[in-house]
Amino acid sequence: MRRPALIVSGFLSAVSAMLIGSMLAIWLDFRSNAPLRESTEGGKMLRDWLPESIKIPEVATNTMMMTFVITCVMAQWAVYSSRRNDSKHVSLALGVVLLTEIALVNVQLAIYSQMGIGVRDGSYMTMFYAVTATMLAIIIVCMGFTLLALFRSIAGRAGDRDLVSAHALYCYSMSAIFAALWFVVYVQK
Amino acid sequence: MFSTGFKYFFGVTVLSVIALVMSLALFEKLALGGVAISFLIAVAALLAGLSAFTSDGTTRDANTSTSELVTQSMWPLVTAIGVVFLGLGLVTSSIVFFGGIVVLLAAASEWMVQAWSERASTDLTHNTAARKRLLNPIEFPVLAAVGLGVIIFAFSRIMLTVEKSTGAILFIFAGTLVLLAGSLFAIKPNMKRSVGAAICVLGAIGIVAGGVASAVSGEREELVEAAAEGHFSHAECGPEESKYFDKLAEGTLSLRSAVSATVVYQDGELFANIQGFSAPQKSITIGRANPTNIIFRNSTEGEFRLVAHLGGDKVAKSESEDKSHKDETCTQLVAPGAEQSLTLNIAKPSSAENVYYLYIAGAEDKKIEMVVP
Amino acid sequence: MTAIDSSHSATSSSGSIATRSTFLGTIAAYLTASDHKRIGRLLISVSAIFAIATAIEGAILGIERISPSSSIVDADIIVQLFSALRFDLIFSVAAPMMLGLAVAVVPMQVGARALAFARSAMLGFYLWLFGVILVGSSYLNNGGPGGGNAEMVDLFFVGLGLVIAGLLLISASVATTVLASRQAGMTLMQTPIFSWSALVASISMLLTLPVMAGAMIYVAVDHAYERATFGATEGVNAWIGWAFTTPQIFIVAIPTLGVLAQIVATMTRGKQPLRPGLLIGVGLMSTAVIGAVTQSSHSVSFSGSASDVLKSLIPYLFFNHLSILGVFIVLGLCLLALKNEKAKPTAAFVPAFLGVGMVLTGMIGGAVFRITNLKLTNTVFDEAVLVYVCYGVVLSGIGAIAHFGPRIWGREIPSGPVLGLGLLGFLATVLASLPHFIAGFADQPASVANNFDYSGPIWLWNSLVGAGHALMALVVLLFFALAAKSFRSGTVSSATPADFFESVNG
Repeated sequence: MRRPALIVSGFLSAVSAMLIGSMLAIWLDFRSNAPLRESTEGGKMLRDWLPESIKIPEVATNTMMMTFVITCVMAQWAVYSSRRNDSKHVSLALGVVLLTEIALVNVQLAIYSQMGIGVRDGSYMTMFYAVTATMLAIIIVCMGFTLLALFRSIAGRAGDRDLVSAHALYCYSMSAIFAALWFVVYVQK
Repeated sequence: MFSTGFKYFFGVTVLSVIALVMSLALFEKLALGGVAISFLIAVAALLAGLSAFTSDGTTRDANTSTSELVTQSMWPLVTAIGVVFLGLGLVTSSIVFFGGIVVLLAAASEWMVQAWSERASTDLTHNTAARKRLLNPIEFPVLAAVGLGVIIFAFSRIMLTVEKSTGAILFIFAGTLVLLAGSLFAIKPNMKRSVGAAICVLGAIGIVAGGVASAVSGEREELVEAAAEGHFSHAECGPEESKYFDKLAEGTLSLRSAVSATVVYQDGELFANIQGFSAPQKSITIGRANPTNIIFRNSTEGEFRLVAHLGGDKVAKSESEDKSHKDETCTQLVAPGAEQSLTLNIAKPSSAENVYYLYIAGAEDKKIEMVVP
Repeated sequence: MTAIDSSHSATSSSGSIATRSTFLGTIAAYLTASDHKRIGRLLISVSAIFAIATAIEGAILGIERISPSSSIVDADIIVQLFSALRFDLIFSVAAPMMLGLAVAVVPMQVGARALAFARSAMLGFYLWLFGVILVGSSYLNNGGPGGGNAEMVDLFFVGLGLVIAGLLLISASVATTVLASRQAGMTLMQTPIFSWSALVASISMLLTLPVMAGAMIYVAVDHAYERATFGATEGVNAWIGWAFTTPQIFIVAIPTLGVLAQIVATMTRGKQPLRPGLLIGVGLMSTAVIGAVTQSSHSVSFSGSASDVLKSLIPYLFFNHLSILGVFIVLGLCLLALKNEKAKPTAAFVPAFLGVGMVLTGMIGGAVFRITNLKLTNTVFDEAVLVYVCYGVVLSGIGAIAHFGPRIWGREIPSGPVLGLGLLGFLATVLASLPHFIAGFADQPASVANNFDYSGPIWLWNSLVGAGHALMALVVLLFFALAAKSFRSGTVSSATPADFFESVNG
């Protein structure tokens, strides 16, 4: 079957994944080459990568991860409604997706604010801002995608399943990509 | 059973897995290559799955359309320009960056609506009308505002470049041209639209071209000198007359509402008249972080200015520190019998470090204390 | 033969807006184009102009290196020229030329009414064009990798980002057209081989260019905030240099296999033995993606113990030689088809075949370059590999335009000049590269124009290289002038749309 929007969404997912993947690869390369130091608790040797003075706000980062899950659920709801030609629920679902995406941008900015680090302060900080800002840009691209799907739905094309499915696929991919980033940057540290 | 596309992507996936296993087995340090290949495996698997799901896009149904023909559109070009501004703004200034965002958003919206309207129906006239109905209420006011803004800005550049007398003549000339054009339109109401449009366009081009030329040649010398020396950017609160700050000093007040106190300099004495107090006061109370208006009346022979000392006296912590800091504002020189107002907005309460008072420039012993609770 | 209606006439319209024949109207029509032939034409024409400029850059560098003890061009400019040559060969010439061909040809081959997401492809063209202009401006003002002007280095990153974004958009359009816009009943197996190669090349670019972008973002942010985590301006090449060498550069050459196989299919009237082998061969060439994403070179050393040699040999063979195997498969099958059918070569065949030959030579050179025992690292050998591959792509592009042009634009290009220019282009490619293969063995250093010495006729190798580049500039100029004249006012072509396609049944 011809699904051009779905195919393009697949390509967009591939591009985003390879982009963040290469950045995480370089991040891990730097991390693995960092010298060892003793942890402040003692008894354990850590990579001297995350400066001791920096605390990752784990509540915010975990909230961000969970918000991605909600985004996926809402995007799938839009697909489900689209299959039933239920334009109201398609629009509602896409509207909620847009809200969750705004929330994602908000929580990322909150993480920056809570960490309170400057981009010039060190290698870790520069790379941290580079990779997380790139992820932010991917979220903003997804917001554009959501707006497009929402506009199409409101304008009377709620039955355009290809676009809504494509949007859902990109949301899933974006979530998977963020999960990798979350694990490498925020969990493993 | 398996489509060609699936086989290709599956092949890439398998070869990538082999590469990863080989790298793990043979290389000591793996971070860069290994992680990248892992992502490649995931992506290739995703594309393989998509290929299988869509059967490579193969369809037996001749009624489903292939890609649709689209009309010409300038929005890809405008979008690209917006993206370029965005990128350049990251390197140059934030104005360019935000300009790029505005252009990008506008182009993206137009593009989206154009794409939607083209598929609204099979009737081209209806589609065009639908697009116009949606976007014209936004396009026309925005374009008009932008166009007016450009013309006004260009005209302002011309005025800043030419001499003051030439500027007056230009104004008269421009006004005459507008009057002539308006008269022509009034006399010949059946004049061709294209002629009217041509006159307006020529006029606009002339102003914009003049504005560009003026911006390139720069402001006239006296303005450049004033900006460099900061003639009008700060108050000069000394007792002597300032060439720029005291130029065209005001002597009368038109607005007298919300006045906290009237400070009078009479017969060498400085005192404050506060509503509700019959006797002159040597101390006034001012609300914190609220704009406070004080009227200064000069009832003495000679021109004087009232200066407000706004605290900031830092006690020097060591001899090497000369940290005394004066933060002051003042009126212009006030002629005998004249008045001026002074508006203060003090954020911090009075303390040993933040001492506030009013005094006459040149007669610092004449003071009125200001208390900020 | 399975005849497929190419919908040529349907796609020749430019939409509902009538195109006036005035000069301004033509410019407006091209600036706002959504017709795939126009977009393809824009890409090919602009990349041809950049090809001439790039060849002139190469000629200047060749002349500059004739006498290492003296210099004609300022030292700072030389550094920029070396970097610009590498960038332009791949991103200003080879990649857009092949993508332009794909944009123009693929929709007609797969029976689509139009290119999928044509406006996105047009946006991609503009982003690529503006990006190349910004990169060029940065080079002219001491930017680029290793540049001395920090702001211009930042501008280089912005330009490179735009170029990557533009190429990604065009690739996505082409790939989506093949995967989602084929005519009813056409499977991917039945897709003409050029379209298949365009699909594979587009997918490969979609997978590798973002990797380059990721590294570039780190380096750009690091540089913009005056840090040196990534080595400041000198470190730029260390982090994105892999995108300008093997195996990444093989990806832009994938469509050359499709061009050759398509021309052979036309010559043999669609009789192609083991046709699926062609698809596999083209697919194998795209395994360069796997080596490219690791962002490392995989060299082999034949010194040390047997296990050490094996440890380096296996990845070396895997990452460098699988692609070469793919080219051999396609070449072999094409020659087999020609032999079986005793087909008479067309004029377009010559540059297409020679182009693939040059690409193959570059690939083999790239594999030789990775043998550390030969000590070719940091010599001009790598530059020669790049020139072989990219000029091979240009030659193949000439063959493709000579073959597809009459079918798209309905007018013939005279065979004689095509043949002559094809042979001249081959000579130019060999002259621009082979002497540097030899000089590389003699240890002529890379990216250095002055103050080097080695035993051997330095002046000979470098003057030949300079002459080769100059000749290539002339070839490109003459061919595109010929093409422009022929497609506008040449003999009406006797080629039919069915000539696009080859038999499914071999």
